[in-house]
Amino acid sequence: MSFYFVGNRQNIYTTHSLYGNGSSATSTNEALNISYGTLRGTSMPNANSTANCFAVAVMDFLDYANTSKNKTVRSLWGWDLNGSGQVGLTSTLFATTDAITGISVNTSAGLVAATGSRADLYGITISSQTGA
Amino acid sequence: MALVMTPIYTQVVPAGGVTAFSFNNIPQVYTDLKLVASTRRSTNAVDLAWTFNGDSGNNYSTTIFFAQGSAGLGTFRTSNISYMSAYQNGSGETANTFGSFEAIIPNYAGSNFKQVIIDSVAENAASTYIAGMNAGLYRSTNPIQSIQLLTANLAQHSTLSLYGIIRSGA
Repeated sequence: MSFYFVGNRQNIYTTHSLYGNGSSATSTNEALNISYGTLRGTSMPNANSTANCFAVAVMDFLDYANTSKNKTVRSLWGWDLNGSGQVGLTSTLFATTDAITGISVNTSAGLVAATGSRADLYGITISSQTGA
Repeated sequence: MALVMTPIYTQVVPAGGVTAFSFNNIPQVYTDLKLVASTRRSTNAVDLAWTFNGDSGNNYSTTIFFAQGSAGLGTFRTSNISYMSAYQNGSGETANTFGSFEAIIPNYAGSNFKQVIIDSVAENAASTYIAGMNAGLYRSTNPIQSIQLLTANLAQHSTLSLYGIIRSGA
């Protein structure tokens, strides 16, 4: 699965991952300075996988509207197919201070997200109290 | 609509940075706490450290699983230390880039020891970075009423927010 922020397909996305598959752990540069972020897109469940199985990911876009900061996306993700699986922590740097105004989620080239796949976007606000 | 996660406190680091700050008088009405941070140090260091209740005794321990991109991965444990910690960006990482961090503190107002689960990343537009998942223990039966950030030299625009989570039926 890959994603990019609407309005910006420049080569400014860098993704790193830490993940395990039940027998070994891996640290990897998914990609440096390309035009999209990724979440181990080539290995998620697909039409050749166990039926009715879907991957799960929770992605955090902190300070997504702040125009003084580059955007760091932190993602926890995983899938299990009763015999194989992966679980990981991935981060993606979107190296621009542009506010995030739209997100495009994409499958690998030529593939179509299966019926039942969904992506939900939630907004989380901050407090006006500092607690200082 | 029920509120399931309530923002309690937020602090945004002003121009000039700060050396330390606290969240005090944490309400004891929630089930769990969630601490979220988007921070960067103005020095070349990637740690973010804090204590609970001003307790700087050796009452903390942590087990960490971490990765550094092309520099590999590892796991280690530290026991009997005086703080809890996670990763964040420092001045050695890409300019204007901030780490991303969250910690969940279940049953923070209870009388058992406090377990903390953390995931954090210090991103960088290069082949090396650092990310980790921590399980931390604070060996105190006191409810958590305050959090003291120990990390010095937090850069402007760093933000930290504390949320309260209420379980169903509470």
